[in-house]
Amino acid sequence: MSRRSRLVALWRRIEAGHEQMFVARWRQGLRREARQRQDVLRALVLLDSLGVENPVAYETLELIPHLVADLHEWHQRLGRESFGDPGVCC
Amino acid sequence: MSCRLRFFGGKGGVGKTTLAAAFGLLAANGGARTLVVSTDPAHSLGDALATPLGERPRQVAHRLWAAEISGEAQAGRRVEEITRDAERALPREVLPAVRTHLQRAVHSTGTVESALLDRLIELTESAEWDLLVVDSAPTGHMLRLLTLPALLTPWIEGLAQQRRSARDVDRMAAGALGSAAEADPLLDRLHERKARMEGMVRRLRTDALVHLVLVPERLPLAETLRTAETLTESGVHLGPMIVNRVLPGSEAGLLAQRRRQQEEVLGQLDGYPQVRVPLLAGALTGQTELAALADLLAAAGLPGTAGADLR
Repeated sequence: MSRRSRLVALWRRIEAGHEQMFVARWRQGLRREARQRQDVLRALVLLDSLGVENPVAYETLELIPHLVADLHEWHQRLGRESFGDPGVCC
Repeated sequence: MSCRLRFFGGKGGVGKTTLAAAFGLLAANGGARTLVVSTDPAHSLGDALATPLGERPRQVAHRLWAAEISGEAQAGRRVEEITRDAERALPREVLPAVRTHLQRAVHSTGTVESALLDRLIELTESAEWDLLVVDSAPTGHMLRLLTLPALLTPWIEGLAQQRRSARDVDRMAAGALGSAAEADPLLDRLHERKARMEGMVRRLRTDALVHLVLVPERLPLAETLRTAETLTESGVHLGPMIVNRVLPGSEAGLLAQRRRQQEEVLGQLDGYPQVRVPLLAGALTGQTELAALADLLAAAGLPGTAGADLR
Protein backbone atom coordinates (compact mmCIF):
# COMPACT_ATOMS: atom_id res chain seq x y z
CA MET A 1 0.00 0.00 0.00
CA SER A 2 1.31 3.37 -0.94
CA ARG A 3 1.91 6.01 1.59
CA ARG A 4 -0.75 8.15 -0.01
CA SER A 5 -3.49 5.52 0.12
CA ARG A 6 -2.57 4.78 3.72
CA LEU A 7 -3.06 8.43 4.54
CA VAL A 8 -6.39 8.49 2.70
CA ALA A 9 -7.56 5.40 4.61
CA LEU A 10 -6.52 6.99 7.89
CA TRP A 11 -8.38 10.15 6.99
CA ARG A 12 -11.48 8.11 6.23
CA ARG A 13 -11.24 6.29 9.54
CA ILE A 14 -10.91 9.52 11.47
CA GLU A 15 -13.82 10.96 9.54
CA ALA A 16 -16.00 7.91 10.27
CA GLY A 17 -15.03 8.05 13.93
CA HIS A 18 -15.88 11.70 14.08
CA GLU A 19 -19.17 11.02 12.39
CA GLN A 20 -19.96 8.29 14.89
CA MET A 21 -18.83 10.21 17.92
CA PHE A 22 -20.20 13.62 17.17
CA VAL A 23 -22.37 13.99 14.10
CA ALA A 24 -24.52 10.92 14.72
CA ARG A 25 -24.95 11.88 18.34
CA TRP A 26 -25.74 15.46 17.34
CA ARG A 27 -28.24 14.25 14.77
CA GLN A 28 -29.84 11.94 17.30
CA GLY A 29 -30.16 14.83 19.70
CA LEU A 30 -31.75 16.96 17.02
CA ARG A 31 -34.20 14.22 16.11
CA ARG A 32 -35.11 13.86 19.75
CA GLU A 33 -35.66 17.57 20.02
CA ALA A 34 -37.81 17.64 16.90
CA ARG A 35 -39.88 14.78 18.25
CA GLN A 36 -40.30 16.57 21.55
CA ARG A 37 -41.46 19.72 19.85
CA GLN A 38 -44.00 17.76 17.81
CA ASP A 39 -45.24 16.10 20.98
CA VAL A 40 -45.70 19.45 22.69
CA LEU A 41 -47.65 20.71 19.70
CA ARG A 42 -49.80 17.61 19.66
CA ALA A 43 -50.47 17.91 23.37
CA LEU A 44 -51.40 21.60 22.96
CA VAL A 45 -53.91 20.89 20.21
CA LEU A 46 -55.33 17.75 21.77
CA LEU A 47 -55.50 19.26 25.28
CA ASP A 48 -59.03 18.00 25.71
CA SER A 49 -57.95 14.40 25.59
CA LEU A 50 -55.65 15.14 28.51
CA GLY A 51 -58.63 16.49 30.41
CA VAL A 52 -57.51 20.12 30.16
CA GLU A 53 -59.84 22.79 28.84
CA ASN A 54 -58.69 24.07 25.50
CA PRO A 55 -59.53 27.72 24.87
CA VAL A 56 -58.64 27.57 21.21
CA ALA A 57 -60.21 24.23 20.37
CA TYR A 58 -62.37 25.75 17.66
CA GLU A 59 -59.47 27.51 15.94
CA THR A 60 -57.41 24.34 15.74
CA LEU A 61 -60.15 21.93 14.63
CA GLU A 62 -58.55 21.61 11.22
CA LEU A 63 -55.25 20.44 12.71
CA ILE A 64 -56.76 17.43 14.44
CA PRO A 65 -56.94 15.10 11.44
CA HIS A 66 -53.29 15.85 10.57
CA LEU A 67 -52.01 15.34 14.09
CA VAL A 68 -53.90 12.10 14.58
CA ALA A 69 -52.59 10.91 11.20
CA ASP A 70 -49.02 11.87 12.22
CA LEU A 71 -49.41 9.94 15.45
CA HIS A 72 -50.76 6.95 13.57
CA GLU A 73 -47.83 6.94 11.18
CA TRP A 74 -45.44 7.26 14.10
CA HIS A 75 -46.80 4.34 16.14
CA GLN A 76 -46.89 2.17 13.03
CA ARG A 77 -43.30 3.07 12.24
CA LEU A 78 -42.43 1.94 15.74
CA GLY A 79 -44.05 -1.35 14.92
CA ARG A 80 -47.17 -1.05 17.01
CA GLU A 81 -50.37 -1.86 15.19
CA SER A 82 -52.55 -0.02 17.64
CA PHE A 83 -51.79 2.83 19.99
CA GLY A 84 -52.78 2.16 23.60
CA ASP A 85 -54.84 5.02 24.90
CA PRO A 86 -58.36 4.63 23.55
CA GLY A 87 -59.50 7.64 21.60
CA VAL A 88 -56.06 9.08 20.90
CA CYS A 89 -55.47 6.85 17.92
CA CYS A 90 -56.49 3.43 16.72
CA MET B 1 -66.02 48.03 0.73
CA SER B 2 -66.26 45.99 3.89
CA CYS B 3 -69.37 46.30 5.96
CA ARG B 4 -69.63 48.26 9.17
CA LEU B 5 -70.46 46.70 12.50
CA ARG B 6 -72.76 47.91 15.25
CA PHE B 7 -73.10 46.01 18.48
CA PHE B 8 -75.95 46.46 20.92
CA GLY B 9 -74.95 45.15 24.33
CA GLY B 10 -76.04 45.41 27.91
CA LYS B 11 -77.69 43.60 30.77
CA GLY B 12 -80.47 41.16 30.03
CA GLY B 13 -83.94 42.66 29.74
CA VAL B 14 -82.97 46.27 28.99
CA GLY B 15 -84.35 46.21 25.44
CA LYS B 16 -81.27 45.46 23.30
CA THR B 17 -83.14 43.35 20.79
CA THR B 18 -85.93 45.87 20.25
CA LEU B 19 -83.47 48.74 19.91
CA ALA B 20 -81.21 46.78 17.55
CA ALA B 21 -84.19 45.91 15.36
CA ALA B 22 -85.41 49.51 15.37
CA PHE B 23 -81.91 50.74 14.55
CA GLY B 24 -81.66 48.23 11.71
CA LEU B 25 -84.94 49.46 10.30
CA LEU B 26 -83.79 53.05 10.54
CA ALA B 27 -80.47 52.30 8.80
CA ALA B 28 -82.29 50.38 6.05
CA ASN B 29 -84.63 53.31 5.51
CA GLY B 30 -81.57 55.56 5.41
CA GLY B 31 -80.26 53.61 2.41
CA ALA B 32 -77.87 51.05 3.93
CA ARG B 33 -78.34 47.39 3.10
CA THR B 34 -78.62 46.18 6.66
CA LEU B 35 -78.43 42.79 8.29
CA VAL B 36 -79.56 42.43 11.90
CA VAL B 37 -78.36 39.30 13.68
CA SER B 38 -79.00 38.05 17.15
CA THR B 39 -76.28 36.04 18.88
CA ASP B 40 -78.16 35.44 22.13
CA PRO B 41 -78.72 31.71 22.63
CA ALA B 42 -82.22 32.65 23.80
CA HIS B 43 -83.20 34.43 20.57
CA SER B 44 -85.96 37.00 20.58
CA LEU B 45 -85.19 38.97 17.44
CA GLY B 46 -87.81 37.02 15.53
CA ASP B 47 -90.36 37.99 18.16
CA ALA B 48 -89.38 41.66 17.93
CA LEU B 49 -89.72 41.65 14.15
CA ALA B 50 -92.82 39.47 14.40
CA THR B 51 -91.48 37.01 11.86
CA PRO B 52 -89.83 33.59 12.19
CA LEU B 53 -86.05 33.71 11.68
CA GLY B 54 -83.29 31.12 11.29
CA GLU B 55 -79.56 30.65 10.76
CA ARG B 56 -79.63 32.04 7.23
CA PRO B 57 -80.34 35.75 6.71
CA ARG B 58 -83.88 36.40 5.55
CA GLN B 59 -85.16 39.57 3.99
CA VAL B 60 -87.79 41.11 6.24
CA ALA B 61 -88.22 44.55 4.69
CA HIS B 62 -86.81 46.74 1.94
CA ARG B 63 -82.97 46.64 2.35
CA LEU B 64 -83.40 44.85 5.71
CA TRP B 65 -82.37 41.26 6.48
CA ALA B 66 -82.38 39.39 9.76
CA ALA B 67 -81.03 36.15 11.19
CA GLU B 68 -80.68 34.34 14.49
CA ILE B 69 -77.24 32.74 14.44
CA SER B 70 -75.83 30.13 16.77
CA GLY B 71 -72.30 29.06 17.62
CA GLU B 72 -73.27 25.40 17.96
CA ALA B 73 -74.66 25.30 14.44
CA GLN B 74 -71.52 26.92 13.01
CA ALA B 75 -69.22 24.52 14.91
CA GLY B 76 -71.30 21.59 13.69
CA ARG B 77 -70.98 22.74 10.07
CA ARG B 78 -67.23 23.16 10.38
CA VAL B 79 -66.74 19.72 11.91
CA GLU B 80 -68.77 18.16 9.10
CA GLU B 81 -66.58 19.88 6.53
CA ILE B 82 -63.34 18.80 8.21
CA THR B 83 -64.59 15.22 8.60
CA ARG B 84 -65.43 15.10 4.88
CA ASP B 85 -61.93 16.31 3.96
CA ALA B 86 -60.34 13.87 6.41
CA GLU B 87 -62.29 10.96 4.96
CA ARG B 88 -60.79 11.69 1.58
CA ALA B 89 -57.21 12.22 2.74
CA LEU B 90 -56.57 9.90 5.67
CA PRO B 91 -56.25 6.13 6.23
CA ARG B 92 -59.53 4.59 7.31
CA GLU B 93 -58.26 3.25 10.63
CA VAL B 94 -57.57 6.75 12.02
CA LEU B 95 -60.98 8.17 11.19
CA PRO B 96 -62.77 7.05 14.39
CA ALA B 97 -60.06 8.72 16.47
CA VAL B 98 -60.33 11.89 14.36
CA ARG B 99 -64.07 11.96 14.91
CA THR B 100 -63.71 11.50 18.67
CA HIS B 101 -61.24 14.36 18.87
CA LEU B 102 -63.36 16.67 16.77
CA GLN B 103 -66.42 16.02 18.93
CA ARG B 104 -64.40 16.62 22.07
CA ALA B 105 -63.11 19.92 20.70
CA VAL B 106 -66.61 21.05 19.79
CA HIS B 107 -67.71 20.65 23.39
CA SER B 108 -64.68 22.49 24.72
CA THR B 109 -65.12 25.75 26.62
CA GLY B 110 -65.03 28.76 24.39
CA THR B 111 -65.88 26.86 21.25
CA VAL B 112 -69.35 28.36 20.99
CA GLU B 113 -68.00 31.91 21.24
CA SER B 114 -65.23 31.25 18.75
CA ALA B 115 -67.71 29.70 16.35
CA LEU B 116 -70.05 32.67 16.71
CA LEU B 117 -67.21 35.02 15.97
CA ASP B 118 -66.28 32.90 12.97
CA ARG B 119 -69.84 33.20 11.69
CA LEU B 120 -69.79 36.96 12.21
CA ILE B 121 -66.52 37.21 10.26
CA GLU B 122 -68.15 35.20 7.49
CA LEU B 123 -71.12 37.59 7.41
CA THR B 124 -68.97 40.73 7.45
CA GLU B 125 -66.92 39.38 4.57
CA SER B 126 -69.99 39.15 2.40
CA ALA B 127 -70.50 42.01 -0.03
CA GLU B 128 -74.26 41.76 0.34
CA TRP B 129 -74.56 44.19 3.25
CA ASP B 130 -73.28 47.65 4.15
CA LEU B 131 -74.08 47.32 7.83
CA LEU B 132 -74.20 44.45 10.27
CA VAL B 133 -76.18 45.14 13.44
CA VAL B 134 -75.40 42.63 16.17
CA ASP B 135 -77.87 42.15 18.96
CA SER B 136 -75.52 40.40 21.37
CA ALA B 137 -76.22 38.29 24.39
CA PRO B 138 -75.89 39.87 27.84
CA THR B 139 -72.70 41.73 28.69
CA GLY B 140 -70.27 38.99 29.78
CA HIS B 141 -70.91 37.12 26.58
CA MET B 142 -70.41 40.17 24.37
CA LEU B 143 -67.21 41.17 26.15
CA ARG B 144 -65.77 37.73 25.52
CA LEU B 145 -66.81 37.89 21.90
CA LEU B 146 -65.19 41.28 21.38
CA THR B 147 -61.94 40.48 23.18
CA LEU B 148 -61.59 36.95 21.84
CA PRO B 149 -59.61 37.71 18.67
CA ALA B 150 -56.95 39.64 20.55
CA LEU B 151 -56.76 36.78 23.04
CA LEU B 152 -56.50 33.96 20.51
CA THR B 153 -54.07 35.50 18.05
CA PRO B 154 -50.93 35.07 20.20
CA TRP B 155 -51.93 31.49 21.05
CA ILE B 156 -52.26 30.58 17.40
CA GLU B 157 -48.96 32.31 16.68
CA GLY B 158 -47.38 30.20 19.44
CA LEU B 159 -48.67 27.01 17.89
CA ALA B 160 -47.36 28.02 14.47
CA GLN B 161 -43.94 28.79 15.95
CA GLN B 162 -43.85 25.42 17.70
CA ARG B 163 -44.65 23.66 14.47
CA ARG B 164 -42.12 25.70 12.51
CA SER B 165 -39.27 25.03 14.92
CA ALA B 166 -40.11 21.32 15.08
CA ARG B 167 -39.84 21.14 11.31
CA ASP B 168 -36.65 23.19 11.19
CA VAL B 169 -34.93 20.94 13.71
CA ASP B 170 -36.17 17.86 11.89
CA ARG B 171 -34.81 19.11 8.58
CA MET B 172 -31.51 20.03 10.17
CA ALA B 173 -31.22 16.49 11.55
CA ALA B 174 -31.93 15.11 8.10
CA GLY B 175 -29.14 17.29 6.72
CA ALA B 176 -31.60 19.03 4.45
CA LEU B 177 -30.47 22.48 5.50
CA GLY B 178 -30.77 25.01 2.74
CA SER B 179 -33.05 23.00 0.52
CA ALA B 180 -36.40 24.64 -0.15
CA ALA B 181 -38.93 23.94 2.57
CA GLU B 182 -41.80 21.81 1.39
CA ALA B 183 -45.34 22.98 2.01
CA ASP B 184 -46.79 22.10 5.39
CA PRO B 185 -50.60 21.90 5.46
CA LEU B 186 -50.63 22.29 9.22
CA LEU B 187 -48.62 25.48 9.17
CA ASP B 188 -50.70 26.83 6.29
CA ARG B 189 -53.89 26.30 8.24
CA LEU B 190 -52.48 27.93 11.37
CA HIS B 191 -51.42 30.95 9.34
CA GLU B 192 -54.83 31.14 7.74
CA ARG B 193 -56.65 31.12 11.08
CA LYS B 194 -54.24 33.71 12.43
CA ALA B 195 -54.73 36.04 9.48
CA ARG B 196 -58.49 35.72 9.89
CA MET B 197 -58.30 36.59 13.59
CA GLU B 198 -55.97 39.52 12.98
CA GLY B 199 -58.35 40.82 10.35
CA MET B 200 -61.18 40.68 12.86
CA VAL B 201 -59.14 42.49 15.53
CA ARG B 202 -58.51 45.25 13.00
CA ARG B 203 -62.16 45.37 12.01
CA LEU B 204 -63.34 45.55 15.60
CA ARG B 205 -60.98 48.47 16.21
CA THR B 206 -61.78 50.42 13.09
CA ASP B 207 -65.21 49.51 11.75
CA ALA B 208 -67.15 48.59 14.86
CA LEU B 209 -69.10 50.74 17.26
CA VAL B 210 -70.67 49.42 20.44
CA HIS B 211 -73.85 50.90 21.90
CA LEU B 212 -74.37 49.97 25.52
CA VAL B 213 -78.03 49.82 26.39
CA LEU B 214 -79.33 50.34 29.91
CA VAL B 215 -82.41 51.33 31.82
CA PRO B 216 -82.09 54.11 34.40
CA GLU B 217 -81.67 51.84 37.42
CA ARG B 218 -78.70 51.20 39.65
CA LEU B 219 -77.68 47.62 38.70
CA PRO B 220 -77.61 48.16 34.95
CA LEU B 221 -75.72 51.42 35.55
CA ALA B 222 -72.92 49.71 37.48
CA GLU B 223 -72.56 47.01 34.83
CA THR B 224 -72.63 49.52 32.00
CA LEU B 225 -69.89 51.68 33.51
CA ARG B 226 -67.67 48.60 34.04
CA THR B 227 -68.26 47.38 30.51
CA ALA B 228 -67.54 50.80 29.03
CA GLU B 229 -64.19 50.81 30.76
CA THR B 230 -63.23 47.30 29.66
CA LEU B 231 -64.22 47.94 26.05
CA THR B 232 -62.29 51.19 25.88
CA GLU B 233 -59.23 49.42 27.28
CA SER B 234 -59.45 46.72 24.64
CA GLY B 235 -59.54 49.34 21.89
CA VAL B 236 -63.15 48.99 20.81
CA HIS B 237 -64.98 52.26 20.09
CA LEU B 238 -68.01 53.15 22.15
CA GLY B 239 -70.98 54.81 20.51
CA PRO B 240 -73.50 56.81 22.50
CA MET B 241 -75.10 54.78 25.26
CA ILE B 242 -78.81 54.28 24.95
CA VAL B 243 -80.82 54.87 28.10
CA ASN B 244 -84.08 53.07 27.58
CA ARG B 245 -87.43 53.49 29.35
CA VAL B 246 -86.80 56.92 30.82
CA LEU B 247 -89.84 58.04 32.83
CA PRO B 248 -91.26 61.26 31.42
CA GLY B 249 -93.15 64.06 33.09
CA SER B 250 -93.62 64.81 36.73
CA GLU B 251 -95.73 62.34 38.62
CA ALA B 252 -96.69 62.00 42.23
CA GLY B 253 -96.43 59.04 44.59
CA LEU B 254 -94.55 55.89 43.64
CA LEU B 255 -93.57 57.12 40.20
CA ALA B 256 -92.18 60.32 41.66
CA GLN B 257 -89.94 58.19 43.88
CA ARG B 258 -88.80 56.15 40.89
CA ARG B 259 -88.08 59.36 39.07
CA ARG B 260 -85.80 60.53 41.86
CA GLN B 261 -83.83 57.27 41.67
CA GLN B 262 -83.67 57.67 37.92
CA GLU B 263 -82.29 61.21 38.20
CA GLU B 264 -79.56 59.86 40.45
CA VAL B 265 -78.56 57.25 37.88
CA LEU B 266 -78.76 59.65 34.95
CA GLY B 267 -76.60 62.07 36.89
CA GLN B 268 -73.82 59.50 37.00
CA LEU B 269 -73.99 59.06 33.25
CA ASP B 270 -73.45 62.75 32.60
CA GLY B 271 -69.94 62.41 31.21
CA TYR B 272 -70.91 59.91 28.50
CA PRO B 273 -72.45 60.59 25.11
CA GLN B 274 -75.93 59.16 25.30
CA VAL B 275 -79.32 58.94 23.73
CA ARG B 276 -82.48 58.71 25.84
CA VAL B 277 -85.53 56.75 24.88
CA PRO B 278 -88.71 57.38 26.89
CA LEU B 279 -90.76 54.62 28.44
CA LEU B 280 -93.28 53.65 25.79
CA ALA B 281 -96.69 52.14 26.19
CA GLY B 282 -97.45 48.85 24.50
CA ALA B 283 -95.36 45.91 23.30
CA LEU B 284 -92.87 46.97 20.65
CA THR B 285 -93.14 44.14 18.19
CA GLY B 286 -93.63 44.21 14.46
CA GLN B 287 -92.30 46.68 11.98
CA THR B 288 -94.90 49.40 12.37
CA GLU B 289 -94.29 49.64 16.11
CA LEU B 290 -90.53 49.45 15.62
CA ALA B 291 -90.73 52.26 13.07
CA ALA B 292 -92.08 54.53 15.82
CA LEU B 293 -89.09 53.63 18.00
CA ALA B 294 -86.77 54.13 15.04
CA ASP B 295 -88.13 57.65 14.61
CA LEU B 296 -87.40 58.33 18.27
CA LEU B 297 -83.80 57.13 17.82
CA ALA B 298 -83.36 59.34 14.78
CA ALA B 299 -84.89 62.31 16.59
CA ALA B 300 -82.55 61.70 19.53
CA GLY B 301 -79.64 61.98 17.10
CA LEU B 302 -78.22 58.45 17.19
CA PRO B 303 -75.38 58.57 14.63
CA GLY B 304 -75.25 56.31 11.64
CA THR B 305 -78.86 56.29 10.82
CA ALA B 306 -78.23 57.75 7.39
CA GLY B 307 -76.56 55.29 5.00
CA ALA B 308 -73.54 57.49 4.38
CA ASP B 309 -72.44 58.20 7.93
CA LEU B 310 -72.20 54.89 9.68
CA ARG B 311 -69.56 56.05 12.11
